Amino acid sequence: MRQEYNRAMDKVCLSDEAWERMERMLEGRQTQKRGPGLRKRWPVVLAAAAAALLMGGTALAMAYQTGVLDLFFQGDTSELEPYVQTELEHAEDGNYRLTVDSSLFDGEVLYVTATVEGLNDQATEQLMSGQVILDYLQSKWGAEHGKEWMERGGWEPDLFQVRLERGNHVSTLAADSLPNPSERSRSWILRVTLTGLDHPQTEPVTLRVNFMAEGSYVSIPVDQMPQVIQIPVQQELLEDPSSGELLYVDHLELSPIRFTYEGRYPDALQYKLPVTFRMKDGRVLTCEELGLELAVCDVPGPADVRGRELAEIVYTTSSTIDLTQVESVILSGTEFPLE
Amino acid sequence: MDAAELFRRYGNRVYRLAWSYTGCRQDAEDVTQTVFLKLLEGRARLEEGKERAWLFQVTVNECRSLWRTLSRHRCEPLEEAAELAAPEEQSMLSAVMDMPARDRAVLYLFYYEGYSTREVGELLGIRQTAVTTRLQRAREKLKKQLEQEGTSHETGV
Repeated sequence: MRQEYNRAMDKVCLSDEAWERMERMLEGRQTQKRGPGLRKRWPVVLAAAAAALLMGGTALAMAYQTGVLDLFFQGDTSELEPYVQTELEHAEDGNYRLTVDSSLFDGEVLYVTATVEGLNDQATEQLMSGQVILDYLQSKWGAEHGKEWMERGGWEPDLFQVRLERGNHVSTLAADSLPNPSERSRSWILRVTLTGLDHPQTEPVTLRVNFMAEGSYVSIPVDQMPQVIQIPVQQELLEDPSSGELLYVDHLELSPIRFTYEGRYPDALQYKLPVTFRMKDGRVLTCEELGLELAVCDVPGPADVRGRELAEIVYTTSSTIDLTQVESVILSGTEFPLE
Repeated sequence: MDAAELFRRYGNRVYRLAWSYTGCRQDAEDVTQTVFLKLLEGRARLEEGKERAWLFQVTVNECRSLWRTLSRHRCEPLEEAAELAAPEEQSMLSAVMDMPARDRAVLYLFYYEGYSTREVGELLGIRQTAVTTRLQRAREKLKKQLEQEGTSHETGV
C-alpha cells in the first residue's frame, strides 16, 4: 500500500509552467512587500485598546483588571462580566511566575490575558530583554531562523501550550504581546478555540509557557460560560444548489459572542453553508452585518459509515450580539427559530 | 542553501503536501508560491536539518488560512497527475482524493515523507492518537476502495 501510494504521489508535481515561474522568481530574488508577516489578525478594537493602554497607567490598571473584556470586545459587555475569571492560580518554576490575569470561556473559545514575571534578577533580565524567548525559538527553529522569527514578530503563538487532559482538541491558538505591565513582567493575550468538547466541560484547560520548566502550568476552569442557545437541526441541508450535495447538520449554537454549527461533512475544510439571521425587527442580517467572523475548523472525530467527518464551524464576534433581538437562524435557506 | 536551491529540493514536496491538504491544484500552487516567498523574504538561512520541517509547518499554516478566504468552488485535482499516472496510480490518487483533507495530509506526511506519528501530530497540531486513528481509517478506506475497483495492491507498510 505504501509503495503504491508513494508511486502515485510521485506523479503529483507542479506544472512545468508553475515550476519555471517560481524558480525564475526565486532566482531573480523578487520580493513582495508585506506587513507584519505571520502575525495573526485581530479585531480592530484590539489595536485601539492596546493604544489606549499606552496612554497612561490608570488605563493600564483598569484594562488588566477587566482584562479580556476590554481587550477582545467592544460595546456593552456587562452580560459577560459574571463569567470573566480573575482569581486563578499561578505557576512558578523558580525563575518565572505565570499568572492568568483574566479568562473568559464561551463554550468553545477561550480568551485569556496572562503575565509572566521574573522571580530573580537574572531571570527578569532574560525575560525583559527577550533572551529567554529567543533561546526557546532558536532551540525550536535553529539559531538564525529563531533570531529572525523574533525580529519579524508573529512568534507569540509558539510561546504557549494549551492542553486538555484527554480526548478533546485544541483547534487554534492565537496570541499577541501586550504592553509590559511592570519592569519585571510581560503580558500577552490569547484566543484559543477548543472543539469537540464535552458539554458540560468539567476538565480544566492547562496553559503553559514553553520557556518555563516542565510541569509549570496554570489550570483554567471552563465550566462557566455565558448563555448559549442550542438549536437541534438533525437534518441534511443543501450545501450547493448546483451540486445537490447535502450536508448533515446536527445542531446550531448561538451565544452573545459566538455562532457555531456542527455536523458531518465529507471534508470540513472545503464546505461551509450560507448563514443569515432574522431579527425581531424584520431585518435579515449576514454574519458580517452581525459582526461575526469565521474563526475555525474541524474536529478529529471518527467518520461515520458514509465517510463523513464530524466538524464544527465556528464564528466569533468582538461586539456582543443581543440574543433577545434574534428571531431565527437561517442556514442554507432553512429557518430555525431560537424559541 | 538559498531559497532557489531549497525550492529545487523541496518545491514538489511542498506542493504535494499542499495538494493533499487543499485537494486543488490551483490552491496548492498558490500555497507553494506563498511558502517560498516567505522563505525568500527571510534574511537568515534555515539551519540545516530544519528546512523541511519549517517548510511543511508553514505549508500547513498557509493551507489552514487559505480555506477561510475561499468562496466555494470546485477543483479538478487530478487533471495534471492523471495525465502522467498509470491506471493503478490513477485509482490510488482518486481513492486518496475521496478522503477528508486531514486524512490526506496525515497519509502524505507519514507514508511519503516518513515522519513519525508524533512528528505528524506536531506539524498538523493534533494529538498523536488522532494521527494514529486517521492513519488506520485512511488505510482501511484505501484498501476497501481499491479492492472494490479490483486493483491489486501489496499489503503491509
